[in-house]
Amino acid sequence: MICIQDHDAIEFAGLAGELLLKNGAETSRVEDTIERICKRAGFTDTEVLVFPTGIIINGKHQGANLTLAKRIHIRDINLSVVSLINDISRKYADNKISLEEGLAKVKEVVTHPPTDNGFLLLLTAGALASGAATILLGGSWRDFAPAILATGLVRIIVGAAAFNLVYILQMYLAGLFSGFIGSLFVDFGFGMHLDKIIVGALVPLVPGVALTNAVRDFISGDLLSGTLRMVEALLVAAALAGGVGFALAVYSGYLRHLIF
Amino acid sequence: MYFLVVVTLILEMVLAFFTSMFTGITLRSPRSAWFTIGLAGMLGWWASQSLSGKNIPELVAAVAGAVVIGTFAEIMARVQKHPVTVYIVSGIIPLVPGIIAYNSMLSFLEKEFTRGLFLAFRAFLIASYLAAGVAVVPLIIRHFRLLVSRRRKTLKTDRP
Repeated sequence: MICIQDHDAIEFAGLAGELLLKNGAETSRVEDTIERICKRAGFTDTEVLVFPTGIIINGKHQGANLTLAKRIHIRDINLSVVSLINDISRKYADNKISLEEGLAKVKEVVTHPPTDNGFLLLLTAGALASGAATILLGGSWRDFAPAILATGLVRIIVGAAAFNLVYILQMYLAGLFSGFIGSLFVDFGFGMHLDKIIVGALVPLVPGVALTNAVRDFISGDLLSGTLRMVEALLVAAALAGGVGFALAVYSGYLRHLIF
Repeated sequence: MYFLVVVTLILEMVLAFFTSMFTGITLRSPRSAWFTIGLAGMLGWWASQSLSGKNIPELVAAVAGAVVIGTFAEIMARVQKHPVTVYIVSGIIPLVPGIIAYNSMLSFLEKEFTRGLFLAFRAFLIASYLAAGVAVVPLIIRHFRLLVSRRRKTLKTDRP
């Protein structure tokens, strides 16, 4: 017999897995978390199938099967959520909190995600990261201010214009604007090294999460997830490079003659 | 002369610290991990920088930096109770071969496809070696912990 508590348990496992997968956890962590929750809730034969675009859970309790499928559409990286869900699932598995408390906590993460980092903080942090990266890559101190301004402008433009755009298109726009803004700054005499300014401006957007997770998935044997994530990382890198390339080609071909 | 080298290295380590930490903030890492993320980036940069340019292949330098970051992340994950992902993703950011990828893109624009492909593959290899080096340490530790726990279980069941 399946009771309400079993439905709660599998909903808890599904929500936790969905949040982990959406916010940048690797596949084996998602599978481990779901299996841990299901085992603690009393399911016997738990089978979990996790792809970057969906989750399927099947649990057996007293001879009856219970299945849950989740489709993951939007992905957004928020490592605080990963840490929080990891903590909740471990506490539940160690019998420190009950099923109702765990489900309530996970639902609270859905409705009120940890938003102590507002847009302004993200903007400042991204700009300062670019400034530091520009000098680290070998730029002079004169490149510091242009890199900071370029990243700030890129973040504002992409954040405002592409609020609901596809992720890949957003990355393409970021590359495009950083190429244009960097070239303008260098031509007006504010910066010295165009390559360092552009690469520095794009450093916070590098697909690091996708790449590291892809390789970790490959090593732990999740070949399908690893392939998909590797393709995602390559696509993002190609979009960034394509945007910069288009901007540089158009700028040096046409815009420079118009402006100067 | 030696003084200048040391000052440059310290300055670069500070810059790597800030690059990693601020990237971690943009990825919305937990607040208590911000400083440690910066330390991970700094140590990784130090390890890879002290090896590079001494007749050592760049891939080896990248892997050395990545292994240092992975070890530090594994220790800090135990201490601060955050997932390893939080530390390694932002820690490798200063080591990412951005300039090589940029030059590859420029070569494609200038229709030098052979050089562009060569540079693109080089950047891709360095990036995947970084990710592999960072991922290997936690996996090895997990494997040995599994072995130890299995052994303990068999010892317990063997006892009469």
